[in-house]
Amino acid sequence: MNLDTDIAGIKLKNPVIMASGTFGLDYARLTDPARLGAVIPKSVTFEARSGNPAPRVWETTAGMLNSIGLENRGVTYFVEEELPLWLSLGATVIASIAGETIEEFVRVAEVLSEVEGISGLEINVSCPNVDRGGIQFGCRPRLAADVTTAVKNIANKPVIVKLTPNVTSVTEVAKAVEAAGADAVSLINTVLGLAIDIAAEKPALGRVVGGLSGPAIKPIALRLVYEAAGAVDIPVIGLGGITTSSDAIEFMLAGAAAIQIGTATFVEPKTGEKVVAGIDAYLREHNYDNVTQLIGKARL
Amino acid sequence: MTERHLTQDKLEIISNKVVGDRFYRLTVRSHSWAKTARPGQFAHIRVGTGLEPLLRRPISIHGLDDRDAVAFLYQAKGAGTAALAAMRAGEAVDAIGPAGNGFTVDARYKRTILVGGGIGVAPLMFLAQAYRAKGTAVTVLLGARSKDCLTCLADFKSLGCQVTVTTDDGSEGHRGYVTDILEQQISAGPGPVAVFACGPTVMMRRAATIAALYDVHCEVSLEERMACGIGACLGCAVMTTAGYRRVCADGPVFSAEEVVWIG
Repeated sequence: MNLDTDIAGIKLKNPVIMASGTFGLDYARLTDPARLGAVIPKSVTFEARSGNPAPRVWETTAGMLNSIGLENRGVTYFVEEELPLWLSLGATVIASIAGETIEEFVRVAEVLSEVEGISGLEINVSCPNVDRGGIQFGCRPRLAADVTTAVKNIANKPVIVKLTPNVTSVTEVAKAVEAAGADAVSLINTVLGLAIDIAAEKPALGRVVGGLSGPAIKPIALRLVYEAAGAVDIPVIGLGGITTSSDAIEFMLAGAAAIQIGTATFVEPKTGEKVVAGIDAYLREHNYDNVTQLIGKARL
Repeated sequence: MTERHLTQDKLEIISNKVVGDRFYRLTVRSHSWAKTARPGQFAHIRVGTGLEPLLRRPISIHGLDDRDAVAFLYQAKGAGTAALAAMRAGEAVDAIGPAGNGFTVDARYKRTILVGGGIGVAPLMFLAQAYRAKGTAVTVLLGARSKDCLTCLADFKSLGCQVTVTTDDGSEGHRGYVTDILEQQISAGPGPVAVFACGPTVMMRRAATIAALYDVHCEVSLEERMACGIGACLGCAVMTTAGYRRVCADGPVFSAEEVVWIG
């Protein structure tokens, strides 16, 4: 079965990508990253960031809220210490970039462009858990486009822009970043939410609000992927609550050229491998010979 | 730090029995876990097969029953642990681990004092087993709300530990907090002595303060809301003198002096 996937020149052995912030190196003890389409490690900023106060996670009905706050050790650490380990495991790596300013996005992209072994860049303009630079860019089509243009000017590899669901019109943002030169879009990042800890009679998360992920958000994500895929000509990567291969196939039928898995890995570390196997079985059962035949097939 | 053996396994349940006020003792059959687990480590257990509750639950390793049997102790206080409590002998639990770093087990300590509050007693039994196996004197200070919330007393005694109990309501042992008697216990015998604490934050913080006062090594096992359980999501971060660190992968055991106590 042919699962080969090409996202704007990024060659993947299958359409299953591990979402940023959810797949760390320790998972390589429990599942084989080389069998996955790609891995997107946690977003990197130029300098190290320490992240948000605890509690940072809270379980909700069929989902979870998080407010990590882009904690990471900075781009130099990523390039020197983390990337080589991913590559030695045989993973295809797409690097996720975050920043507080357009200049920071550019500086990180500049460093990553000089590195061998990174197949593409994903611009995170959709983190809901920081005061500057995350969702503040992703909510405004003009700013999202400006970040995209700036990164595209310096980057020597395909650029994916990761979009937020916390907007009135996702198609407006998708079209804006496409016009600015984005090679693909991925969506959705987490949905802004809140939980109250009734034992403490206080917000459950240290930063009050957080991003909702997990199976609970899948219908929201699917609707937004469907809309975005109808609005742009560049590839759309779908994510948000994907837990099984059936979920992944839904996203592809809605128009996604590839999918990402996030929270489901916390529940079952082998979810990625299982989804690959499940897509393969589905294609055989329905007499397809190529996974690309699924893309957008359910669109009306 | 020795290389960690972290695996995902279906562990066959030998028994899963109530042993106190909502306290359950779960034992599973696994030679590899029994061989590699260290005191202070935990298992990240999937408590159901569906999507609700979604996340795994970190459950402390309570000790080894024999060379093929590992015990866990947990309190059924929410939907996740209630689902775990409903599991029966013969079924299998999906567990990732042994996870986390574990307590220091070092023969140079002449005495160890284990301070446990509530369900915090869970990992201390395994630690008591390890120190007793080295011939080290082990004093256990157990604190609970009331008599009904005390568990494992007999198990500690059968290991040859000296056990002192405090309850908030005076229904058993001394009335008061377990840390009230820590000070006299530290000075009650020869050194070097080490203090290991697991329980409510106020208890651990108090134990840490007293240990520091006597210049005694102290380790605490911290708890924080956890998602992935293996260091990927950074959800269970706690503040330390070295910045945020992950309870699941850098802990759950921290040297008391590196913990920045909040609140």
